[in-house]
Amino acid sequence: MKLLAQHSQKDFWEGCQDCLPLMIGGIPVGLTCGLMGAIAGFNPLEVLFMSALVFSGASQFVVITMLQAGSATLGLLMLNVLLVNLHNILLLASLAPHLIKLPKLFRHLLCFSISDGTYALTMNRVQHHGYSADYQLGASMIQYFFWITSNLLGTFAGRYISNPLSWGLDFTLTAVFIAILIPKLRDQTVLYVSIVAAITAVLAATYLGGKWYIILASITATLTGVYLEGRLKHEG
Amino acid sequence: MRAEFVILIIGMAISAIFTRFISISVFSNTGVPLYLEKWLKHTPTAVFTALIAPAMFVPKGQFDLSIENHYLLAGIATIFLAWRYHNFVLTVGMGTLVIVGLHCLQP
Repeated sequence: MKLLAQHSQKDFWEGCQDCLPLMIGGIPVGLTCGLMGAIAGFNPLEVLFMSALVFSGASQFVVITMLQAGSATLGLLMLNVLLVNLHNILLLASLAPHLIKLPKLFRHLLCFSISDGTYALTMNRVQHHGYSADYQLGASMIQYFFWITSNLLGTFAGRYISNPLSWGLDFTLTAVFIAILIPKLRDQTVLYVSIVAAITAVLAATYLGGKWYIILASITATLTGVYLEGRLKHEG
Repeated sequence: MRAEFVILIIGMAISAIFTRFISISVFSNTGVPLYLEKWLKHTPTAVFTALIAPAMFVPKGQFDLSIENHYLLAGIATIFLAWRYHNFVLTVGMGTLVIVGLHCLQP
């Protein structure tokens, strides 16, 4: 709390409060992530270490999926974690004008704990009351606490399910990705990007094997997105 | 903790943390270049799709467009649920129930 000594505790608690409703969605994702981690061979301590240090659902799910699908090299896993996190560069770039004014430790804490949910809350507040670092810190801390706790609890649930893969429970991960992806597809460009990614990934997975299909699909699909947006701008 | 998992987790952390600190160190004064912004915008969509589609169509390493492919059937059901209800818990929960149900009907 020393960090907050000359800051606004009111903003901090408001951030905490506003983040709580997000946890209705966040806790099940964390439980699933812990459960899938246990299925992929992580023990509870390793899941705890992973969620505390990586603190990124997409990264954890991607790595767990790849480990389950067979052997993958560390370099390839790291590259895929990098890919699913690239959008963080954007989120933080938009916060950069505010963040650079903060003391170093405070700034680093906020950079480390960024997530889509707390970013949305923070930017929503910017529109109404201006930027508050204490508010962002409060929201991030709630997210961090619930993420780690739900991951850990999820691993224990995993122990009560014997041989979950024979039941097709690895499909739960696919369902998680579907639940995240589908609401984004309302935008036409995003829909086309997704279709190109799907076709490329299925072709590459069928004919090439290995895990390169994720990277191949990402490159072709994002280039399609850039091209389509360029064309739209031309027409409009 | 086993060494190979610790190394893996540290590797993941390096990748994830890189994306969280590069902006502040590089773009804090200049802002994000437009071409990069356009490209980055679509990476999550592309990556998520690339994880979903092969899991449905190529579940065992071979293209499988048959009624026996439970992953394909459950995937279609889950996509419908996600599209219709926009509810994370319901989508993941029902999707998992569908695949378990298919397994019971047709082991």
